Amino acid sequence: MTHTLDSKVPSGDLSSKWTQYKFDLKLVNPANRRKFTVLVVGTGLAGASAAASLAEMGYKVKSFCIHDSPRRAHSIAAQGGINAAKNYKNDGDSVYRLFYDTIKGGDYRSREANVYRLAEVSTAIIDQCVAQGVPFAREYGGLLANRSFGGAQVSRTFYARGQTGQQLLLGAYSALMRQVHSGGVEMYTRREMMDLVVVDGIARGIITRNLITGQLERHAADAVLLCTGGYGNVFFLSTNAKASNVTAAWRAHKRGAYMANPCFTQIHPTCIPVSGSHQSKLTLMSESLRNDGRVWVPKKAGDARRPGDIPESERDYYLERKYPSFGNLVPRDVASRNAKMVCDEGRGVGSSGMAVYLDFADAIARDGRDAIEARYGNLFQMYERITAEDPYKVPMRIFPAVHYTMGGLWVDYNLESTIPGMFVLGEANFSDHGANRLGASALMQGLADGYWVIPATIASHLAGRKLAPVGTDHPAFAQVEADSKARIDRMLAVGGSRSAFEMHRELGLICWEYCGMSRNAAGLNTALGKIRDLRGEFWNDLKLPGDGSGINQSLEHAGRVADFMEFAELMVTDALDREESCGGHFREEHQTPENEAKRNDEDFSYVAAWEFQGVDKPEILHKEQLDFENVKPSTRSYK
Amino acid sequence: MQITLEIWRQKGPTDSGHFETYQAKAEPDMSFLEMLDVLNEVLLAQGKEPVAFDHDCREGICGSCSMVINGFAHGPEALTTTCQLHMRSFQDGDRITIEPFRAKAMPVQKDLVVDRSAFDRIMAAGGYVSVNTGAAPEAHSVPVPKENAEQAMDAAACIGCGACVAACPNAAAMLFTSAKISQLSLLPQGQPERKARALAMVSQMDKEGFGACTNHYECMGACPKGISVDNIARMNREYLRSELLP
Amino acid sequence: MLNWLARVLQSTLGRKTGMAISGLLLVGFAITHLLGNLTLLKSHEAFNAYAQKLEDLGPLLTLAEVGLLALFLFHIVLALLVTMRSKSARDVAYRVSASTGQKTIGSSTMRVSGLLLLVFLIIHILDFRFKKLMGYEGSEDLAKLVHDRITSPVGLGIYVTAALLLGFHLSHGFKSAFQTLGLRHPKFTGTIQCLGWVLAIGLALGFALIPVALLLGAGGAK
Repeated sequence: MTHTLDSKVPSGDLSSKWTQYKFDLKLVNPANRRKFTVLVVGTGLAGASAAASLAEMGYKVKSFCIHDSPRRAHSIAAQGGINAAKNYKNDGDSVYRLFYDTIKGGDYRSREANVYRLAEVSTAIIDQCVAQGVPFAREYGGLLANRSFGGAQVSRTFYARGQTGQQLLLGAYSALMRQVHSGGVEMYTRREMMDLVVVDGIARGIITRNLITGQLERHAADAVLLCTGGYGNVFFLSTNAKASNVTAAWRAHKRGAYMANPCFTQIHPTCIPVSGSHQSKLTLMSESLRNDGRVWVPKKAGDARRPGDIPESERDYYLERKYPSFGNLVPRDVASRNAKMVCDEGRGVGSSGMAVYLDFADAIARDGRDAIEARYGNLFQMYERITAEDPYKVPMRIFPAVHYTMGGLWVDYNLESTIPGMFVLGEANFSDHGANRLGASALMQGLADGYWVIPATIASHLAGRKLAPVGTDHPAFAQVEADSKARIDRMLAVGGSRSAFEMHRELGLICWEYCGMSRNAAGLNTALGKIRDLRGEFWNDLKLPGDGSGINQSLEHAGRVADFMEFAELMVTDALDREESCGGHFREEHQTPENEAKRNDEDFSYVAAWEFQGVDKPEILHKEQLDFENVKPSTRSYK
Repeated sequence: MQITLEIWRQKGPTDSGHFETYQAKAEPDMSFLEMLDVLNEVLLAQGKEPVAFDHDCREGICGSCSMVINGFAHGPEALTTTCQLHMRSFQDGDRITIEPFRAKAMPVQKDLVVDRSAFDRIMAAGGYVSVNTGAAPEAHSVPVPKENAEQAMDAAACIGCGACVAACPNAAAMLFTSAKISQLSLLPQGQPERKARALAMVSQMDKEGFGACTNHYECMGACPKGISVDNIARMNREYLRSELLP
Repeated sequence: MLNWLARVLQSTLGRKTGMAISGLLLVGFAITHLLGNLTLLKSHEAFNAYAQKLEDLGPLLTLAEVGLLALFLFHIVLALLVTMRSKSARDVAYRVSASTGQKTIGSSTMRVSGLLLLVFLIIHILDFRFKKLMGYEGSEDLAKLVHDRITSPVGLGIYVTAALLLGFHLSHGFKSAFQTLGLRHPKFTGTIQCLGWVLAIGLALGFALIPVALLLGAGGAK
């Protein structure tokens, strides 16, 4: 069975599509809403905002989170800010400009109508968050402050110090807890979604594992919302939180939801480099550092001198040299790729040789130490805490790290996946960022999906389809629960010698080496073989402690690694299939003589949506053609 | 580095628990949690059960860490969560005692994992502004004095880790509760529910069985985000205001 | 009203408020008490005249004494309730506990200093007020009674120790009361802390030095 990919983008003028569509949607009568149960998996920005908003409307909501509290999802770690087309700075911003920048920034691989809607609702997000008591930065007059972020030419980024994600999440969390208090939301903490239950082709529930007792639980519903974040941890080392995983999305994929553009991963250029083989996690530092820091490496390969001993004439400020007009402020993908290139030439610095300098000496000489401290004090402090080096005296060492994943489950304009009744919100879907996400746009999308889109579009399913009553006693629940149990038992029964931790690290190295910042066919093919071998090893040599009852963090992790092992293969397959360079996806075969990305709009202006056929069977590719009616794709150039 | 660890091991909520001693190797560049990762790999290889501990973002913002290290919640460094603590803060040959956060209202679930749902219930009791999605006025319709916004942000920086409770000689949750009450009482958006919020959150805090503040300020010393006891004074004020004023 | 009072006194913050207010009132009492005692340094006659003035108040004095007793009891009962709550809030103790440097000797000894002060209070009342009320022999010359008691080796030990304990108790209690009442502001919190120290040291030294001064011959001693 194959689906035709109907994006359900409404017709009409771009700027009136959403309004008209909301009017055309069927409504669910307020009195009937309490008869519908909606499961919301995940309590990040998308999940918390969706659960709270739907409960406010009167739906019966059950919310699930993997942590001990719904306040801890990784949205909390976002630093920079959230974009909104308020034009408070009178600098020519508009919904259309935010839309245009996002489409262009995404290298023309996203859907116009979705992106326009995102830009359109962005302003209401700010209103909502302010009303919740989110303490955004303010000017002396008491009005909201804005800054320019990520090279944007207008100041449209709202922020709360360096903790914008935290404050927005706590706002959504407070709205969620209000609903928990009033009974609108039933909260299930320390639960992991094990699988999706599909009855007669419609998503009707989930199986969860209680991480405290180890018990499998059934939850039946009329709609399921996956708000489970991205898959960056397939690389093992990333800026994602340790619990971030692809399991819920991958389980749904195996039940029929298509996975779209999994090769679109974002590498952030300013992270603290790996310090040793024990490293468990990479830490990102705001890219605002590049406003004043100069990036350089020694001209000579293998130059082991200390940075201060390398004279000016023997330094290569390679970004300034190659991109005279943008210099150190080139977009994330360009900065990252160039760092890799110089390191591959043997010019990397630090003990690992996998880092470049970000030097503030000139800025300190020009503006004084105090000015630099006022701008970046907290970042410098964080850097010093982790590396024990003083960046006021020694240049910072930075290296790119996996940060965000643009790919995800395919959704239509309603945010509904190819399984009717299952919606995907936030980073978990592929929807709005194309091949590259702009800074301060992730928070915007998570909240747009949860606060504004799903409360309207869920009616397309609940009012539009006849839903037969299905309870947890339906045989499908017993079947899926048995599948979940079998999988856990199978992992516990292997009784091998290698830990999931170790094999996850190995998987990450393969993905980073062959499917990281730059990719080529030979490498990707090598990766496919290695991933399959490693997966075989996983199922033959896994060692786990304990059993399935009670808290067993090794078992939890192993289950996630098992899914990453399968997912990685699809990511690499997608990268192999996309014979062009665009956004975060750089294929070495497709570059200009100056090593710049060469996009191929002729053949690849589509969303690659993959349909699962069974483990070890090739997935079927479905293409959703991207039509650009309003914005004409052009080449990005930062020379 | 070679270190000796004394770690609290407890099989489940009803188990009485005990300390176990382990020898571990570490590098000065490792984070404290990476040192535990390595220990757990060794334990697993030896066929023993790894130490369970909560962790997630490993960059000091999610608030999952819940360990008391040598008597200090989150370890000996100021303004630092356990995940941002590095082994270079210790010496070769050190003996390090690791215990879970301890409070009756935060029971141990396993080893170093504790149940902090009491915090969520305090939040649910009133830690919000009642505004439905879509009901918000234009963001600029209500100016907020910069100073208030800054002070509200100071309070809002709380990561809900529970170190304040862990460090408090009385296991009180005043710093946590007061941070949220403060944040919302400083903002115009929080005014309509100001009284009800203070009373409801304080009452829930009592119901959960937290202790009473004796103004030692150890909470402030342990708080990885530097939340000030100014907030506790403000909460007391809000409480009195709510109880005394008509 | 009764419901309201019951609710407030069941709340941790309500109880703490009660302790803070009663504590501050007791500080006021301690100050007047010290000022009265200073008359002993002048002469026995001055002290006895001061005592007589108080006796002359008649029922007003009784009322004040009952009020004072109630204030003490209120402060003590609330302290016990709050302490019991805090003790039960940590059911398993830490093996290792350390301080981040915020705690002071004063703050961590509040319960001990409070309990010892209670013991002292009982001794003190038995020593003087009880004897006076019961008309014990020698109680008509209160100044002599006091003088003899607080300059005897045991009496000196008790009264000087109690004075120092009061100092410790106030070194934390005074500023703590202001914090509990929500009276904290960058503008005056420093002043309150200073005032706390001045009171703690002043009251401790004041009470402790009276017997010492008497021994050294102040007040025209024999």
